[in-house]
Amino acid sequence: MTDQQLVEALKAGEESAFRVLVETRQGLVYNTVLGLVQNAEDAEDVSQEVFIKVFESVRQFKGESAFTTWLYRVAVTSALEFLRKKKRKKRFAFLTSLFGEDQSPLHDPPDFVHPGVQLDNREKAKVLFQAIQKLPENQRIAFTLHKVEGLSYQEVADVMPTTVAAVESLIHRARQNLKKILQDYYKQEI
Amino acid sequence: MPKKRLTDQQVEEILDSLSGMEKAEPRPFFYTRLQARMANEADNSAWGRTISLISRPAVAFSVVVLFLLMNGYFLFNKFGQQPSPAEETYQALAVEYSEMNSPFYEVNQETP
Repeated sequence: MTDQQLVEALKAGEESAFRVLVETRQGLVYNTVLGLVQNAEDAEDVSQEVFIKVFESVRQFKGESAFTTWLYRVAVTSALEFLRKKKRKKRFAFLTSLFGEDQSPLHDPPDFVHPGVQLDNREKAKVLFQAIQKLPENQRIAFTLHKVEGLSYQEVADVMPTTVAAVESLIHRARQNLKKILQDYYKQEI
Repeated sequence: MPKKRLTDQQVEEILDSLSGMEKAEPRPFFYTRLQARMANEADNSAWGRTISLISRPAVAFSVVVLFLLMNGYFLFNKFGQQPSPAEETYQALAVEYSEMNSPFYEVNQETP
């Protein structure tokens, strides 16, 4: 089934099409979201939200971009919305003590390691993911899509949406900032 | 004591630690859990919307203010209120009854 056929079937409200969509794209959505939210349970929740949003708003998809690009955009937007909501909750954490209304801990365990990282690189990747969290939003998105999801500069540019030159610049600045953050991190560790 | 700095090579190694990584997949039966959530949200949507509306601070505050205003209105109206027609009837009957039991009737009674 091509993307166009899938979109048409989704617009017609076919449940089987929705199943195909989820089963073929769940890895794409989950991996993207996980790279940004850096927590497996949150990534599962946000990924579900992404598919619900797609199901509800697929009629608004005009086909101006590739369907996969649109799906990436929904995933990135949902992950960022989730992070903003989480940040707001943390600001009011002094009122609600350590636990939120739903009794879930507001403070993430600091040692997130992406499950796809090779065993030899786990310790280094742990430090890198902490540093990525401190990047400005656009740099974080570009770097994560390129490094974690493995998208090319052109694909990142389509998702963001911006130019390839802008993506190159964002990733270059992200690397420079990460170097500074890592140096500071190791100074504090000594 | 001079602080130790990472060498450029060490920084590059950390930056390259994501190379060759595999993509993560959600836990098995993702679609089943998604379907359950969608069904659950559809069931709770009406109640959920009502509860979220009521629990909004602006709505809750407005309801409390309205309740207090209504209380105040009824309380102040109670003091300035005229007696109701039913109460007037009762009062008239009470006056009439007390007049009938007055000593005036006893004085003018004929004795057999």
